[in-house]
Amino acid sequence: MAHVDTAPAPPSPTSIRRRLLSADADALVLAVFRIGFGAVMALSMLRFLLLGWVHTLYVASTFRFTYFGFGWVPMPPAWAIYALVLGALVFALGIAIGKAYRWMLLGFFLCFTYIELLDATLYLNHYYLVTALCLLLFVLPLNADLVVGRVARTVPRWTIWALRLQVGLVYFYAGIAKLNADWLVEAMPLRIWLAARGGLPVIGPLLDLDWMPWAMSWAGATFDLSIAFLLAYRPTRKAAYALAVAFHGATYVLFNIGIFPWMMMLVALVFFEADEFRALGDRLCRFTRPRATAAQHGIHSVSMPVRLPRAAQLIAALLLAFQLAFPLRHGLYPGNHLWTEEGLRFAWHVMVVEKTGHTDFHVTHPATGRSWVIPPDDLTPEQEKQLSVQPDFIWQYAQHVEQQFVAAGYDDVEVRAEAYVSFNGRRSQPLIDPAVDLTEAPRTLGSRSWILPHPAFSP
Amino acid sequence: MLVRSLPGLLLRCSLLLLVVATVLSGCRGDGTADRTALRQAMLNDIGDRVILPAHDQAASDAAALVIALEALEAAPSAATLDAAQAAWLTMAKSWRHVAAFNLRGPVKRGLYHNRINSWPTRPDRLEEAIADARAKDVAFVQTKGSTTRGLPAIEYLIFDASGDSAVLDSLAGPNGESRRALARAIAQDVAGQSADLVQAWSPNGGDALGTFIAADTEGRFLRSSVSRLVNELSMLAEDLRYNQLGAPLGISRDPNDPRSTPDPMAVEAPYAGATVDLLRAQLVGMRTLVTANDGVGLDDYLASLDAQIDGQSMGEALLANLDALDAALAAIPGSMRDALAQDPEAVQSAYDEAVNLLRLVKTDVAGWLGISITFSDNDGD
Repeated sequence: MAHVDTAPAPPSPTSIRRRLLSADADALVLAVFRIGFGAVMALSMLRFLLLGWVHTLYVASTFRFTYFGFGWVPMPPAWAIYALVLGALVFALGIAIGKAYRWMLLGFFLCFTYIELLDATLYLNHYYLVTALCLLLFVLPLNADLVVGRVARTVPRWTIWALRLQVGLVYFYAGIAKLNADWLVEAMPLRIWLAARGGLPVIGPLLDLDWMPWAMSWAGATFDLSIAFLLAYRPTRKAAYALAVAFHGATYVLFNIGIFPWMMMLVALVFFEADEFRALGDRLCRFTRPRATAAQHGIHSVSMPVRLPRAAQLIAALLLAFQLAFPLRHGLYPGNHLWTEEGLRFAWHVMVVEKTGHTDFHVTHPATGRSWVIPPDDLTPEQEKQLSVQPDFIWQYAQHVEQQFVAAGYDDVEVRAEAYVSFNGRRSQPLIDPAVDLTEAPRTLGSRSWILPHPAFSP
Repeated sequence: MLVRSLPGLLLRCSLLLLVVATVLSGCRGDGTADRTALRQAMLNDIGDRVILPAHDQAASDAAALVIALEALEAAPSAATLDAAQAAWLTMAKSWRHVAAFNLRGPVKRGLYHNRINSWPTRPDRLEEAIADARAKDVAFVQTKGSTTRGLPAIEYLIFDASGDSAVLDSLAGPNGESRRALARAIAQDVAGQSADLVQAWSPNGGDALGTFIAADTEGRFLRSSVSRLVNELSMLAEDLRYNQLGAPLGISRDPNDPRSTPDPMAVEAPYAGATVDLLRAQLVGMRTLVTANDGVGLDDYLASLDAQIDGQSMGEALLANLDALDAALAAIPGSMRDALAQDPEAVQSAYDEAVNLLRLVKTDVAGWLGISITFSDNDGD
């Protein structure tokens, strides 16, 4: 009798591709993500309104810093900014509900991104994550389940993995950013940050322990580098998620980073499988319809699958390829990007450096021989704080100073920056070449020669 | 299977992390100081050894100023004028010792600092007040804005850059009685505000001190006690650089400002010619904040953080910078007013040290303390 091998064959690359691209999956994962994302965004917008930030961050400022290429975005009147935030709030709720999903997403994306583009001072990695997610969500069928009055449908498996990849990249690149000597050997900047939080009730004394900054530095880097993989692997998933909740909970307590921890706790749910949600739902509340897993009930055969055009695959692939490559662009610039800030944004460098600076602008008018020292005192505190450590903002403010002098009748003034920055506890160093007239320096995405290298990182 | 060994794996990873952390922290050679206890000791010492006594002294000197101005009002003479001027200078110096403590909370809300020392004063408004026929008392003074009351207003009334005889002439002149009465009434207001300020700080009154110390454990780090102190230190350093030294040197901050050369009248206390004395008194005030009058001060707390700058402890660097600025001020020949006309380089040297001080406080000290120099509590989420 011939021996028959009944063990399943290992998956070949072709079968993985087929399973990913063609196989249908339960859409509950995407639906849970949609509701979580919509809810946390609505909460974020509500918080923005209730804390009066429309006024303090936008209306009260007389100057704004722009993103490269987006200086044309007009600053709307105060009422319109309130309307945009309110609009984003309503659209976010609409996303959670799921009806007219893509219209709601479009509305939210436009309102949110417009607000985000108004002032680069307020750049935050998680705001950028919201925008990046919105772009991806356009091509994903997040409304295939948990929409009142609609029958649940199945979705292509790749749509779930696309979302997982986007979320995983945030963690992974945040971990890569921590692989530097300051973080791992000097425990900087956590030594500074934890000492500053020593007054916190209960945990404060723990933060004062000498070894704590090193332990947290290494634990943080290990967490960021590994959590996406641990979440993706079913046997470790639940423990990894508990770890993620603990990690983000700790960052919420320790640092002023707003909704970021809550947002990450929610988006990390995308790594779970539908049957895990259903099992949890059945066990805890029994609020979901009593149905078993898709595989057990043969949901593929009874549910109508969502079919996406090939263009959706292509767009998602392009967006993810961009997200894979763009955060690495800092490698194209000379010097330490944490110091020069070149290539630092949109790259998930989440809380990896402590910089404190002070900048004054020295103005000279060669025609009259007069000179002035202009501190940036017409900025909001947040703007002044960001200006003091960001070369691009210093350049932008130099142009603003030039315009003020032109308005006062001084054409052709020279504006130089006296900018000193303390980097991870090192003695403050000049950030900008004080000999360079910034009004003559072009704004560029390329390397800017007027940024001085930090002596500690110079060859 | 990994799932079975996950708890063990996590335990092993945690132990490994602990070993790595202990080894690396050991390599730094840090002490094991209890920083929370140290910070609390620092705040208590700054409160008990600096803030409360300095405010008591200012209130006492303000009361003495009232007595001196009552004597001047009753009998204007060279002797009573000298006594009044000496009392004013004593109070103005005392005030510089408390200038760093206009902290958020009941003190800032009470506007005491604005009412006691808003600079510069408005001579035109003061002349209008003198010409006003109403009785000169505290109620009258309190109808006026901050630029028409406080120590700078008294200075205008009892000092003159051309000498005491001009002051005596004006005090005994046509509006002399009203002028003397106004000086006395403003002093009474200053004394009242100073006494109220003592009450605002007192644990038996507004307990601003308790609020300040409690902020250390409130968990809102941007409002923390240390953050408040360093913010105030930074604001004083900014004031020194831009207003007290920069503006008189003609270092303009405004494109519409026509001044481009030294302006002797832009100094604080221009009539009394006491600018250098007052600036040096301000440095004494800043120094006490750092040392807590030989108690546990900001310097000790910075040392506990192992905060260093070029091998020197951050606290020592801060004190050295204050000393360098004080030495530069002491080297200014005569009054600041005269030096600006005759030896502006001497003032420039002091300005350069003020630039260094501001940079040190705002970047190096603030950077090590992990606080952002900010005048709002918006976390910018």
